[in-house]
Amino acid sequence: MTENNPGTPAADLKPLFQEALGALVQDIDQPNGQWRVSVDAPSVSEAMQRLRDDPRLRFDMLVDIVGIDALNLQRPHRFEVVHLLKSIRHGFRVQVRCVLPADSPHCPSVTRLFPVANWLEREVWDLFGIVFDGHPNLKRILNHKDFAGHPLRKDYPVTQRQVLSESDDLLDEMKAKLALKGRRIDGRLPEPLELGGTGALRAPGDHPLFLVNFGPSHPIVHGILRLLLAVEGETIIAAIPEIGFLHRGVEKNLETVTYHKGIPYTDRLNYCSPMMNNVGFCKAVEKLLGLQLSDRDMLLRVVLCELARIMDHLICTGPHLIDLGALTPFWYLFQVREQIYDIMEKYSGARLTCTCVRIGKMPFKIYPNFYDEVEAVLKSLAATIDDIRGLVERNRIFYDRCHMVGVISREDAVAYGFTGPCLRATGLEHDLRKSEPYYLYDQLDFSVCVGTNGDTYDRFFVRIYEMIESTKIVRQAIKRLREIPEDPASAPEAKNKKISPPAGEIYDCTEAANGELGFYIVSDGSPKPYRLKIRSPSFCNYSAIEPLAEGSMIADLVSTIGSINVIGGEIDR
Amino acid sequence: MGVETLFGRSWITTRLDAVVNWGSSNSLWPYVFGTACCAIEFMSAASSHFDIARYGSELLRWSPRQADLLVVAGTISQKQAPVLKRIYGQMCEPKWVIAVGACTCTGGMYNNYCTVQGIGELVPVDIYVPGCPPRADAIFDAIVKLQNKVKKESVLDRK
Repeated sequence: MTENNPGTPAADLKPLFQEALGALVQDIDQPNGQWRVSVDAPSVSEAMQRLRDDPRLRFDMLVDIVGIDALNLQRPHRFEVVHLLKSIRHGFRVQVRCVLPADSPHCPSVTRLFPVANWLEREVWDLFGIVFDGHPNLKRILNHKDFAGHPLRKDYPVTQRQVLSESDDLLDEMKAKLALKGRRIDGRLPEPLELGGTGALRAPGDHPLFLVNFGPSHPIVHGILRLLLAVEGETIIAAIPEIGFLHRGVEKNLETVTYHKGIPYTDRLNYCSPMMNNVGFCKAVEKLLGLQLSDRDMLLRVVLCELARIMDHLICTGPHLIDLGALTPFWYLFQVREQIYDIMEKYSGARLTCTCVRIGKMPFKIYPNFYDEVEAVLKSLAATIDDIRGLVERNRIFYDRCHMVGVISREDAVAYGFTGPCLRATGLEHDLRKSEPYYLYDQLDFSVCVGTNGDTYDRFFVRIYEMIESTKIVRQAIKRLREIPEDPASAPEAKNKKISPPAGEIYDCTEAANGELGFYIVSDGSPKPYRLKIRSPSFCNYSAIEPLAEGSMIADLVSTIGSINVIGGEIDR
Repeated sequence: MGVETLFGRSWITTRLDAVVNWGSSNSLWPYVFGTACCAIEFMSAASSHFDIARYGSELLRWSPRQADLLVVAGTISQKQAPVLKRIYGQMCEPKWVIAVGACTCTGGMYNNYCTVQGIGELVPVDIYVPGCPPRADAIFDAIVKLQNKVKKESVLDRK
């Protein structure tokens, strides 16, 4: 795989883009070192198809779709849509940008090319009111059904709240889906189906389909998710997911605060591994500012990130086992997490939401016993992992509940924008720490853990082995840290300097616990971000839940959701 | 055998309120409506290090119909509000509510278009726990405070 920092491409791609796109391309530029192709709005779909199919480019993964409302940017157009593409094979990245007018923003849908676009486009429609022509189900996804207006437009007031009196019954989607599958509904519906209600949909000649609400508040959904299932016996015929229950408007709030004040919001995205989000956000802003960190700060961030990865994998694997009926491993695993909490509390003053990174520096000095205490955690983690493996690795029940359950193929995983352990479980050796190394990861020795089948079993064990790899990384980083004395000049300053990055756009990403955590920042030169889009790994990973659920049994769905590690704060933002 | 055997086959007289409240305050069964970060801290409270069992509330119920304590841990968005109200309605009397964390109490950091500014707008709250997220100790403090509150209630007040 080509080594390639996002934004510092190894090759000059301009001729390739020109050849692939021909007359479709309006402009090719490289702002902040990142390739950007501007095309006419109606030809977006065609251009994306060519970029995907060209053998020398192979942009096979749609990373994210960013909507921008340029109302206050003094540009001739109102809206912009940026599609972020990545080529797993070649390690290239490109942004496909189109501009849309204020009165009728229409853009062609790319759902037929990339299934993950289904949810991404729904999100842009929900937040900006940009219509994607040809989308199969353009419906609100994060906000509730009674919401009027589009909250991320610049003319929507931040605090204009809208009340929902009754949840969506999702029957419109369910009926459409069952019709596609050739299962008829005879028109007679049972009593109004509300949340928690169930009822049978009978069609003459068919076996009766039973509607079950899975969630929104269900012990296994780890937060708030909802699936409306049509089941035949215990087999799921159709599944309609509903997300957005934890949509708390982070992106809108971030536009109202300065960059430094934005850091605490990132803590609460993936609240299982907050340090990693801090680092991802600060790294993106630093890139926009062109700041370079000292080796010591970078290594300290590596240590915190890997501890966060361990924390996150602990909270994925432990509750996953609880969902399968194994409570004991959770008590062992959580004990290690408590030890990491203790370290974080001594280091930053907070157990969970620590906000322990600042833009361009690390704010806190490490305390005297820091290295020894981290080493103690790593030792007890190794012992705990041995215990857990002893409990589950050859456990018949665990094996039967997980092996070949929730299988996703490598091609489908890429098409659905899978990243992180869920992608690696399919056998694809893709890790941003290796493919686009940042900080000093390229100087540290560790392996990328991959699975073979892309099933729940692999996803579980990829996480277990990644924890072991993380301990190796932490040990190496600490060994180097011990040799670098603390520079008194870089000691924490009393006040954070006001930061106003130059006007421009940037996308930057890190390998977070669940996959690629990206931040797309639009700066207008002011101390507050003009637009900040968070590319959350869970959102894309979970968007494949419909094909994963359909055809499986309800008990398998439990196992599948547990292994994907769905974090509400990250999905719904 | 416990201390109860010392009484032999005798009678004990007490007030109805005293014995009912003694029972309910020491065995509050929580239903955790955990939505966000605070739910992760609640996991800490429930797991082995802090151990909520010391306060008699270790029996986490996953159905509101089996619980008498609703622990709302995490941000409540407008989309979730009907769900929370419905879950509160599904719980049997007597029931109590603890609001864990800044978001649940006031909306916290999220003063915007989609976040409910405190669940007091939706359900009656007995104890508010500040913090973002509150530590496990703070949750235990809330449980102890609620126990003291329950002990002062009377069955005759429940209509």
